[in-house]
Amino acid sequence: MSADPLLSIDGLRKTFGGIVAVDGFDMTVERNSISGLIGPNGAGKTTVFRTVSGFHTPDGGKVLFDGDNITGDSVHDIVEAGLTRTFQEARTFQTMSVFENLLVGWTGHQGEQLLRATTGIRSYREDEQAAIDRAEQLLSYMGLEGVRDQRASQLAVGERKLLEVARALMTEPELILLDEPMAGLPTDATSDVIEYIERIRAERDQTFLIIEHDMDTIMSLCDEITVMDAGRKIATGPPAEIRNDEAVVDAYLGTEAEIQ
Amino acid sequence: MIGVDPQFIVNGAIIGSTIALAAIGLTLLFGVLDFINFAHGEYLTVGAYSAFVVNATLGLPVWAAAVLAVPITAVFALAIDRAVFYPLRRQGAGGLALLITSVGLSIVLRNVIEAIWSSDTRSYAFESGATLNILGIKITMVQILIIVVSVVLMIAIHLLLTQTVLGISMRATASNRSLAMSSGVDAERVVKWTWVIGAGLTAIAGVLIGLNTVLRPSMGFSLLLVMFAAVILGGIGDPYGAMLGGLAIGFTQEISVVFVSASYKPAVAFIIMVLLLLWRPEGLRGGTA
Repeated sequence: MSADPLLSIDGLRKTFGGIVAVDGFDMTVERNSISGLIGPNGAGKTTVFRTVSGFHTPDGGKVLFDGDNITGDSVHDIVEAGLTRTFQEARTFQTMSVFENLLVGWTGHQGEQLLRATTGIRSYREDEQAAIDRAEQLLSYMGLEGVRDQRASQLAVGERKLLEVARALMTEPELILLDEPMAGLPTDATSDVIEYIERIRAERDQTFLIIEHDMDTIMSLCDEITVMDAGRKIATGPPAEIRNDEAVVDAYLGTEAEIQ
Repeated sequence: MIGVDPQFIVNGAIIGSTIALAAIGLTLLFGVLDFINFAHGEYLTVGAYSAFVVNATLGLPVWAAAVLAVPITAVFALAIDRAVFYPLRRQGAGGLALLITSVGLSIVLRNVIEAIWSSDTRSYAFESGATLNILGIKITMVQILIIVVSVVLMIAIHLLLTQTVLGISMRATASNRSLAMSSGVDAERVVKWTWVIGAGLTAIAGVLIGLNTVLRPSMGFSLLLVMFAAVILGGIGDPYGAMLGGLAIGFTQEISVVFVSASYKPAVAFIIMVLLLLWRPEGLRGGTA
C-alpha cells in the first residue's frame, strides 16, 4: 500500500453553470514529496484544491487519498482523514488568540458536543489536555511562542502564514495543500517559509502540494510539478523537465517571462 | 444624579440582563450563519409560553417550567431550522432571502401563539416572595433571582466560549467558516448547537420577563428591536458585546423615564444606538472583537 501515491486524482471534472473549470484532470502526489501545481490564472488550480478538499462536489472523476475514495466527502471528514489546506490570503481566526487558533485545528476530539464539553467527563479532559500539549509544541516548533496570546489580527503577514501552517499541522495531516504560500509576503520572508516547509517535510514526514506563482520558489522547492492550462493537465515532471517543456513554455512560463 | 429614582438600578438590571440573554442568542447565530433572525423574538415568546403550559396547565412549579422551556424551545428552533432555514442555506440562499423568510416566520409564529392562547395577558403561578428594601430601593426575591440567573448564565456562556472545544469551534466558525471547516470543524453541527444554546438562552429570557411582568403573544416581538440595538451596539456577532449592549440599553431606557414618558423607551434605545454608532461605528467593543 505504501508504494501507492498518497493522493491520486483521476479524471476530475468540475463545472460552474456552463463553465468547465476543471476537465479530465489527473494528478498524483507521492508520499513525503513536495509537489507543485502551476498554471496561468484561471487554469483551474484553486478549483482542484477546493474540489479535492471537499469544498466543491466534483461533477466527475475520483479522488483517492491514502487508498480511500474521498470523492465528495465533507470537508471535516477529509480533514479527519488527513488532508487539509491553507488559503491564498493567509486566513486566520482574527478575533481569537494565536493559541486558540491552533486549538480549532484539533481533530483528535469527538466533535463539537455540548454535553461532553460541559460535563467534563474524564476522557474529554484527557483529550483536551492532549490538544493543549500539541498546540504548545507546535507553537515552539513554528517559533510562534512569543505571540502565543496575541490576537491573530495583530500578527505580521509572515507570522500569519506560519500560524496557518501550524494550524494545518494541528489537524495531524498527512497531506497539506498550500494555496500560494508566498502570496503577499515580502521577499525576505519567503526564504523563511521555504525553510519551514522543507524542515517540516524532513522532520515530520509531511507531504505537500503547493500552488504557487513564484517560479523560483516552486522550482527550488518541488520534487515534481504538474502544469495546468484551461482546466487540463498539460505536463508533469521534475522541475528541470518542466522548465524546458515546450507546451508549458507556450502556455505559461513564456508569458510569465515576458511579463517579468 | 439628582432627581433620578434609584429604583432605576433594579429595573435597569432586570431589563438589561434579560435583553442581554436574548441578544446573545441572536448575535451568536448571526456570527455562525451570517443571517439576522427576525423571528428571534418569537423564540422568546415560545420559551415563555412553553413554560406557561408546564406551569399553569400541567401544574409544575415555575422553576421546573423554566428548566423544561429550554429543551422545548431548543427543539423548536432546531425543527424550524431543519424545515425552513437549512433547505434555503443548502440552495445557497443569501442573507437577505433568509432575513425576509424569518420576517414571515415571525408573523406566522406570533399569530399562531395568539390563536392558541389569545391576546390576553397571562401570568405564571408563583409567589414573588418578600419585597426587600435596600437603601431605599425596592426589590422582590423573584427580581433578585432574575438578576442572579442572568449573571450566572452569562458567566456560563463565557466559560463555554473560551474553555470548551465547542465554544472555540463556535467562535472559529463565526470568524471564518471555511477556515474552520478546513481545520476539521463540522460546521453544520456547530450551527445546530448554536441554535440550541441561542434558543435556550432566549427561552430563559422569556421566562424571566414573564416572571417580572406578564406574558403576551407580542412580548418577544416588542423586544426584538431593542435586542437588535443591543447586538449592533456591541458589534454584530460578538456575544460579549451583546451582553454589554443589552445592559447599556436596559439602564439607559430606565434612566430615560426621568426625562421622557415611559412609552418612548424604545426610541431612547435607538437614539443611544445611533449616537454610539456615529461615534464608534464598530460598536462598543469595536476592534477588540
